[in-house]
Amino acid sequence: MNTLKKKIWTAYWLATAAMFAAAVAMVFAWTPTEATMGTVQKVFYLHMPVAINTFLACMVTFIASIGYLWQRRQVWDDLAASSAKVAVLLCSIVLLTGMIWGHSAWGQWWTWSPRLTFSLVLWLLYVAYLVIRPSIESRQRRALVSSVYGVVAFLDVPLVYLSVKLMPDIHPSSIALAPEMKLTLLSCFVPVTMLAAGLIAARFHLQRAETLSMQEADDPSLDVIPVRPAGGLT
Amino acid sequence: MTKVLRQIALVSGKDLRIEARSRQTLGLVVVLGVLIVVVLGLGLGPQQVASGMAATAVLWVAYLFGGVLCFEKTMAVERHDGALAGLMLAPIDRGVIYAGKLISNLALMVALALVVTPVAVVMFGFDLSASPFGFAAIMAGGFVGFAAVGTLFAAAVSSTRLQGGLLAMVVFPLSLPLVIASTQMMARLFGEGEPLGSVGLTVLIAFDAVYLVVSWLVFELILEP
Amino acid sequence: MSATTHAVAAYAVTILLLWGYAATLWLSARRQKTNDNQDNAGKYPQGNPGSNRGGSDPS
Repeated sequence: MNTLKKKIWTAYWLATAAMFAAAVAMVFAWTPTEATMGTVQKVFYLHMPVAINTFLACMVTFIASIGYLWQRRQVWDDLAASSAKVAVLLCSIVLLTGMIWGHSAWGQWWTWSPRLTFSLVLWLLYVAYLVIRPSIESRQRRALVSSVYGVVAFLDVPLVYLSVKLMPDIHPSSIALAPEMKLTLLSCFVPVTMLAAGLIAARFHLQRAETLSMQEADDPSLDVIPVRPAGGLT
Repeated sequence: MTKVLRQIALVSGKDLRIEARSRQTLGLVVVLGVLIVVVLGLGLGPQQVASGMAATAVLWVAYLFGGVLCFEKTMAVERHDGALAGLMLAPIDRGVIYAGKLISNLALMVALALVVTPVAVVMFGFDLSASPFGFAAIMAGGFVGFAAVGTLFAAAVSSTRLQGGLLAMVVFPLSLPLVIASTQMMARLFGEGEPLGSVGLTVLIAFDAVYLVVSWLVFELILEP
Repeated sequence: MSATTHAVAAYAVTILLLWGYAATLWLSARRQKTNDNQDNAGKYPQGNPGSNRGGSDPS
């Protein structure tokens, strides 16, 4: 990485950290408390942006998986793996903050309500993605299986959403927000999205470096030539 | 069109003939299914068993595990003596191979269900008479979707060495919406006596359609000797 | 536990996980050295004189 890139990268992270800190301060010091749910509603300002970013990260995995199936380049697989990792992290946060909120609001850590089930299934889908990757040894095979999985898992998301709709619901479907609350939500959304994007990028750089060093150790041309095993018929 | 159908029949006929002569997979799978039903029946105890609703969950567990074994076996047959390379060299579309494999998997799963379902119905006191066709429709929708995913990933995974747990690990999370939708529909159908809702059936049909189309498109890329 | 404790706990968990992961990534990237060095190290896996100490051993 050259110096300019490095500077921009540092500035990006500093800006994200500053905005994040400002947003958290804003939530606790400035935003009015919600009338019916009380202080615990403040969880919402992190819960929702993180949930939206979970979807975005899943979408990056989906697009990268399609990219791999189309072009057979290792870069796509690295991107898919990185964003899947971040998606799992974000989804864990959604589940945890949701559980804390639920414990305060309903007195239970977990209920089998549609939204909770939906997040749990989404989390399981992408945890499985991360778990199956290391158990496939051949790099091309791993990339192939996980990219098909990445595509199918993302198509699963609306189906999971439809199927959990059959269950009885207690989750708030929409919350009326005062203007200050909307502003707070937005000011939380921006740093969370930047953070998620930064994490995917950082993880991707790392993954890229790992792949390149492994790859060039056994075959320097693998990244350039579309991968189609040319071996014998068995 | 008839040509394609004949090709599909040839591919799946070959698989089923192998199965009919060796009876390896079906014996294994049926015994496994019955074992699962018995173990869960013992584990749940008389109170839960008597509620009747445990049966659908138990049946799904048996179908999922049995199904994964079927998918593995029908692909494993092709791994011997370079049979898959022969199949791929045959002048047929890869989609035909997929459809053939899918049909043989479905046939095996139906055979499994025909044995395991009565066992569970008897042991769990599950009253099917309220809506036997509803039950069959939900299960058929579930099976098609499950077999569609399973057939696709069996082809993708089977050339790696760690097959056993891996295929289950891939297929189970992807089939969760099927399990959720069908158990919820069963609960409504048999628990509350409601007729089959169109939402539930839509989920099943959407699932089947999505997976059949995606698998048809992707299978070609995945199949490698 | 009061509602405030819950809210604070949720924020603490989130911040810990997100920034903790960011810190882990940063540390791993540092251990791998910068990308430039990593590329060189990858091209000469036997460890050429120009690459840094960690370069030839990415683990």
